[in-house]
Amino acid sequence: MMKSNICFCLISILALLISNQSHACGPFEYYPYGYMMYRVHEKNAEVKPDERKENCRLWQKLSSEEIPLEDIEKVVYKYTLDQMKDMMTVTDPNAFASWIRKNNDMEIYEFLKLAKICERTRGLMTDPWYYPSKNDGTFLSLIEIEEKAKEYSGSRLKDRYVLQAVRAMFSAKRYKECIEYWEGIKDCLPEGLIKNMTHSYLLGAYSRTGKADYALEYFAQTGDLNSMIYCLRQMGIISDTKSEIECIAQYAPDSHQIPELLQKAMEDFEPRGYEYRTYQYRRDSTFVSDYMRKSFDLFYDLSVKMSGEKSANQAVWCYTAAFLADLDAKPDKALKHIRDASACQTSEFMKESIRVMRMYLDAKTSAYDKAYENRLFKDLKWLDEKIRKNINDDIRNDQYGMYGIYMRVNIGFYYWNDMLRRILLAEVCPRMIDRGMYVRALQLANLADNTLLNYIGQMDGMPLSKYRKDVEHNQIDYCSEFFQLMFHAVPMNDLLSYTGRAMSCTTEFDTFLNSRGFIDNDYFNDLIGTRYLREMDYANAVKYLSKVPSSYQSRLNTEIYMYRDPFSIGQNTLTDYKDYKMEFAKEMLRLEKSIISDIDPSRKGLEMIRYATGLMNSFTRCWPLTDYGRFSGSWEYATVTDDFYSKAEKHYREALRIIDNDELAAIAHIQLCQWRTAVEKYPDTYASRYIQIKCDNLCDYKLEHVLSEPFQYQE
Amino acid sequence: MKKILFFILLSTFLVSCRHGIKTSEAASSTITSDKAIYHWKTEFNLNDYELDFIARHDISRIYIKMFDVALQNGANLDTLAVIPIATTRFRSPVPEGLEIIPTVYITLEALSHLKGKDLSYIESYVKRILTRVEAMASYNELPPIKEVQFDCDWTSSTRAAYYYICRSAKQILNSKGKKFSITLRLHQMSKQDFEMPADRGVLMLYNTGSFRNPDTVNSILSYEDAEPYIREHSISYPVDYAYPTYSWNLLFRDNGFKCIIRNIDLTDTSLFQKSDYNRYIARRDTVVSGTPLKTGDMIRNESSRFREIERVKSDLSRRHNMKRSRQIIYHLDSANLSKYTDDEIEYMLLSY
Repeated sequence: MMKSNICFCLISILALLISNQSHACGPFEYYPYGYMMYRVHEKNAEVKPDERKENCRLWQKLSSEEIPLEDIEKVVYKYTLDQMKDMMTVTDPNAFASWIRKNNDMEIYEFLKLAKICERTRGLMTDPWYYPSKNDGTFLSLIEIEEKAKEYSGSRLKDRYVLQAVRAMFSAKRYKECIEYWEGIKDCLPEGLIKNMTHSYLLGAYSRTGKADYALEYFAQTGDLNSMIYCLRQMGIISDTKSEIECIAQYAPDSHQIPELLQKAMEDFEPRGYEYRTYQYRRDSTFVSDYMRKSFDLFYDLSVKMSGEKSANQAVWCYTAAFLADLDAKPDKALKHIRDASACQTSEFMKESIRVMRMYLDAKTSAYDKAYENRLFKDLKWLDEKIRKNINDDIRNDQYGMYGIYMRVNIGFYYWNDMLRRILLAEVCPRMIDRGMYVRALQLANLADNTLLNYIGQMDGMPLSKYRKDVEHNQIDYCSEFFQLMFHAVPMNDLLSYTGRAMSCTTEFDTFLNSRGFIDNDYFNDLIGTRYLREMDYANAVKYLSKVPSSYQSRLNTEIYMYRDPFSIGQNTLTDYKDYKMEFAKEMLRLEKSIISDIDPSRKGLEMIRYATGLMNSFTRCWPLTDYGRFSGSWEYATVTDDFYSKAEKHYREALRIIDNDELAAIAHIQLCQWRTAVEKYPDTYASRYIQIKCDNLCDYKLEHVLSEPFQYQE
Repeated sequence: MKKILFFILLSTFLVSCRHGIKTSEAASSTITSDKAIYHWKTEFNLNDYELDFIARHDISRIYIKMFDVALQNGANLDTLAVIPIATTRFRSPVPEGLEIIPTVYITLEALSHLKGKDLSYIESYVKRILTRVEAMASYNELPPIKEVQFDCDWTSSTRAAYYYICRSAKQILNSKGKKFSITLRLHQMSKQDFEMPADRGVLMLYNTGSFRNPDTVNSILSYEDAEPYIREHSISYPVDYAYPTYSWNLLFRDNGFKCIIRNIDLTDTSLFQKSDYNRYIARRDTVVSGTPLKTGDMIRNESSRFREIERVKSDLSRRHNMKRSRQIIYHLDSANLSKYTDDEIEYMLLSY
């Protein structure tokens, strides 16, 4: 029992030693296809005229044009009933109050007082416990207000008194009386704000007395969609967003609220890309789950139907149909709808959205030929300009490098840049990679990752060049999609072609792409050298790493892990870890050559053990030699090789076979942590005696059990 | 021999129980037994069936739920307050000759909020409730109110607060010449000092089981669940009896209660597989009446089965003196009531 416990502990320790993972950056939790694309509603596009200001202007006309609107607003909207009562007796600095007092305008004064009483009474009714009663003061007081308002026989404030009478009746839920009164008086009232305000109460009364359809028509004519929705709900016609939109589309097809409602509704369908790297990077299957299918179909059918009807929102409907068809993995259908949308007359805002979606669908459906590349170039120039022009202060003044993080994990924060990334990273690049167009894919990924950064020119509040040089943890260059492609997806030859082309552009498109990307020789050479280390090609690793200045190491996020001795089986650390990768590559290259040329079997054997140890460590505890980060999940294109295990094993076994010197054999076993074997097999060596002196603990010997078969790699 | 002895002892015990109740109730009861029904919807809009039902069965009283008293965001939306919600809207007049007993349901959350507050605070809420009931009666031109009922699923920890509410309500109503009644739940009967100040009580013979428990067979009414509570009591005022006639479908997922589903066709074998006499398993992911169902979800169909009502009532009639009690049906809903025959309804409304 004791034995098995010790064994378990040792295995656990070993597992920790072997894995020794740290999470430098990543994993990526969002896919670029999750950037929200649907865009039909322009926020703050239509600011409703300020009813309150308009009313104050009318009061100004009724009193004096010299009275500031703010003073009128204060009296009309903010004075309490008590303040109002005192107005004629107490000196008040408010210009409107002074004017009423000085001119002894009792007509205005009496009206305002009544309006305040009406408001107070209505306020009482907002108490959740309130219930109108034919016996309580509130109800009677509403009747009194109504009667008093109806008593007014003048013409100057007639429309305002009618409004108060209607409000009182409405508040008392005397809808029928309200309607009768209105029908009898409405033609005598001047057109304008006050009449409209009164009318909205009336429509409320209509909808509460079973005449919602009448109210509905009026609201539809005036484009008051909120009231319309209220009526439709009252009538039981609508119960959800879809039926809401359907009704509005029927009654008010030109309403500006349709895009607003659609924007809200479509957000539920956006894929958002939250998957945890379980799907393909590019998603060609439908996003429509069984759960949302019914609702989805209803919206799609409605969009198709409305796309065929002339209205101010026709382009919006075509665009919506395209958006939905695409979600349902029908890009050809979507393309047809978006072409229809392009043919409709619509706002600049919508034209932009349509062009973005057309560009996106083009990427999905085109053959990747010269013609497409020309179109793409033209579109990218347009999108690039949009990104540049629309950068706002929130993005520009980002002090915490949030957009670096957002981009890294594909979280949307800036429509134009989001769309650039979605189109290129989720559609164009994966397709180009499928077709072997690696160089172009890398150029485009570089553009997608760096365009915005280059325009802003800063991260974490410091210039980009300084950030890349000085920052302890670079948030952008070792986690970007461009980096992932270079390090994991693209064959070495294509990577070399790309870096060559990055340095010398051949076409206008190349120049455009490179100028917006991140081009840095040291960055490229370090990456290529590291890839060669990963491929165990130490000659080429030396070739490229030798071009990287020593100072570059401090730009790596992994520098903090570069203290571990790659040739130590234990936990030895280095005192000098300058040019960590380069020194390692050079030593491995030297060992490779030496193993071939050395004729002394024992020395050769020890070199093989050192080589095998370096090999093993470079992928395990000294992983910064072959990687830029340790991810709990790997990037889609990443290929994890097990080759180093078999290669190292081969060297270890061969080394032990050929060593013919007991002292060196014991050292070899010790280097392999096979202490007991070293002690038992070579008891008379210095090394063995050293072990016996130093290792007086059973567990040191026990460890050998675990290490005696060090090459049985298990997940 | 042992069995015979056991039966003799049991019979003697039952007879003595019955006598005990008779004496305690007879002293305070003056109201003759009657047929009544609850209306427990937020819209009072009786259809032809319901109007005919009232007339056909000679219903003379109707308990109308006026509103719930709950703990929710108040007018300023930033603080929780005890406020009325789910106020009943009166869309049709109350049939002539019918006595109205306005009923107010007080939620446990609202009661918990009032727990520990001083008496004047509690009294202020009672006044608000009663004022609102009066306002509703007046505004909706209901017949004169002679009695008001409070319904609350109080617990041991909230008993004191409810006691003060009832005492205060009784005082206010009695001072105006009106009666105050309360509902009684079976589980409350088992608590010490369960008697609340009131003029009458209605024993609710439903919700006898835990509807949240996936193992419950029928939470609405099960004789086995109710039987332990149907025993002698010493309530000083007359007790009336309410019988359920409703049904519902309860959705369970991973052994946990999810929600009540309405308008579901459990006979659709493409969607549901019957696993037990009232349990159904969803065959595939689907959406029913706006509720998403997952494969393997369990739906328990519960109804107020007449056989159970009969067993309970028969047992009650042996143990309680029901002669002067009101027999009440819960609740006035044509869809549910139409599932019973006239004889079954008459049995429920029968006073012994």
